[in-house]
Amino acid sequence: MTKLFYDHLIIIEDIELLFTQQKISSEDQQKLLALIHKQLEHTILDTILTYLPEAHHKEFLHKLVHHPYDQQIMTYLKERITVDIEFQIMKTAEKTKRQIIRQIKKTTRTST
Amino acid sequence: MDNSALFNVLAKQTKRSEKRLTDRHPNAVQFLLNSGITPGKIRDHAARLLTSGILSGTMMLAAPGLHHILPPKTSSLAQLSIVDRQKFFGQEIDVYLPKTVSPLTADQEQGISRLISEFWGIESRSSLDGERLNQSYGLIGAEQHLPRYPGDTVQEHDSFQEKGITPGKGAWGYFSYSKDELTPELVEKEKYYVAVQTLYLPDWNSRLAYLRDWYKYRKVIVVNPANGKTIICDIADAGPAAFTGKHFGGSPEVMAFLGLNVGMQKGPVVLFFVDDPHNTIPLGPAQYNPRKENALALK
Repeated sequence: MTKLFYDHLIIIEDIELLFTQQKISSEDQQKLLALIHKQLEHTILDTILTYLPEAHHKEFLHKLVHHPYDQQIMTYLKERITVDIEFQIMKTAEKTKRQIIRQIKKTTRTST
Repeated sequence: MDNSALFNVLAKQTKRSEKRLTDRHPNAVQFLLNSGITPGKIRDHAARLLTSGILSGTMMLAAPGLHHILPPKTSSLAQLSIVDRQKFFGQEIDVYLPKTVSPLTADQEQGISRLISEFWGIESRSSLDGERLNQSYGLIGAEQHLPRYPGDTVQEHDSFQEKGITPGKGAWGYFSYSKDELTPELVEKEKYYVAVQTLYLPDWNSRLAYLRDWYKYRKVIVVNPANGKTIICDIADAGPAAFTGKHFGGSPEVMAFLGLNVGMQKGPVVLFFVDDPHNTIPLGPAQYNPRKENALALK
């Protein structure tokens, strides 16, 4: 899977393990992971845009469009955001992941 | 096991997260959509970029939906044609410019300086030796030819004679004392001159002697962000007057090159000082300056 500039901050192996434990097929796992990555993109982008001063939004989005895999984007953000943005991204990702795991357990319990 | 229920629940959750992002950051979402990317599909976009060969410096259309060809990474900039260089430069510089013509922030000016260095190999900045104009991004308007020596006429100028010649000298006087003393270098200085509003500098009167010398034929880089056209000029006149609403003036050759000698004959440009202590950057349309890369290669 193609990496994005923040991928080193998120761990989804625990979700993949949960899918395997629930005996979800590889094909279905891929579809579900695509949705999960979409959600993570939304929430992480929301976090970044919330903390990044608006004056830098256009420049950040330009970099995201042209080099979404480039680690330099994280350096760029760290130089312009006063809070620890890597920690904030990790916190957001964990929160999103916990909600997803809750839903997976709830839905798979109901259907068995 | 039927996973459709799980899929539906996660799909609803994803829709909610998308709506939250759009509600909280509508401009950012619109920017991505205008670039042909749906938020949530940035990873797919990254995959397309990599497989389309952009990383290798190959010039290809990156992905359907994008409205322009993405510029190459820095290592392949040296190979760009002048047309492509101007096109990509115009796209990149536009990111730093405000929606309306107004003074730039320090961040914007630094970003533009970096871009000019990257795309043209030319070091430039809005402030040089502690001196700066009131604006580095403003409207440029058309000027006439300047008389280069006493008795110079418009017929003696080799192009754009229809633009006329000013009745009086430029702010720094004649370029030479006579026609015989007019060197090719001075011809170029008049050809590619710009006027800047030195008269409105806060300390122009109190530091007149120093500033007159400092600004005389000062080399500047002028960029039309609408088309990326970039030209090296020299300051040879003062103006325009503030009531015109313009901030710079360009010679007939400069305006023609920038594509601004039509219609209203004015348009927004970026104007920075060129840091060229050894006078190696020629006046005229900007060319890629490989000296920096050659110097690095020799190390």
